[in-house]
Amino acid sequence: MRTYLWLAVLALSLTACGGGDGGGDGGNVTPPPSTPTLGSRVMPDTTVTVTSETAINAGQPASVLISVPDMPAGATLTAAVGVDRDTAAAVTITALPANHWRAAMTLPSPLVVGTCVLVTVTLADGSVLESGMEDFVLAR
Amino acid sequence: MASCAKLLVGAMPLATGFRKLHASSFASTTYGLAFQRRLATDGASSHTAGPGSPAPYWVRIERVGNVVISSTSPNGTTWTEIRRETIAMSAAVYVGLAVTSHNNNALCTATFTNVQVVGVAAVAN
Repeated sequence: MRTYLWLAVLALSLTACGGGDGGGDGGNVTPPPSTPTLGSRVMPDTTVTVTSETAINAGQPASVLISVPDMPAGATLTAAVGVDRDTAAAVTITALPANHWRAAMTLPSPLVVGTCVLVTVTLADGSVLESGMEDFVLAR
Repeated sequence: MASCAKLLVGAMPLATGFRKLHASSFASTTYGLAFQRRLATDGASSHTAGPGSPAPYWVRIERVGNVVISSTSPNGTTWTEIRRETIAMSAAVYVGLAVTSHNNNALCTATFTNVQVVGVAAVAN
């Protein structure tokens, strides 16, 4: 037996009652000014910013800098690259000072439109925060 | 401070001292669109970001058996899935709308429009 329940809110309007979250500077690891920021995403308890450190070319090595200035104590970070959450390939990350990480990868070839970096932060209590597919896009 | 409006399904109502399992699609001024869920009572919760678009936006949550699917749409016609999760909920669940300011000392307002709840029970596999 299968129970099917379908719910829809068709147009959700939200009136804000507050300003944005504050954010701090993570410290002494910053990308050169000429490198492009792929994006930044605010999630509960943390803000993730990803910056490309290399050219983005299909089939070539690349690296991105992941910055989480407000990384909660005891949290861990992982990253993956792909066009779908279920098939994204985990990438090797290296921890840097001041809540920065470098993710090194060989980009897929061909580099399909929509390929993105997915960042996952796992908090000490097991809660998981996942970035969106549109947050850190490598190929548009 | 973030304010957000949620469309959720789960084992409500909440009882003091327990964090019930649930799944919700939400739109937030600060967090954008997202899918949040708790897979076990008193367990950890998970947050998966959707598009960063601010409200107003269209959100949807579906339950098919024990699979819950969160989706968003800019127009109510073309839907994009954020994520799906298997959550072992009882056959009967509560559905609802919720608003939070994420600040115990502040109120906020959200407006929901075009709300639909569609349920089909006991569909044979």
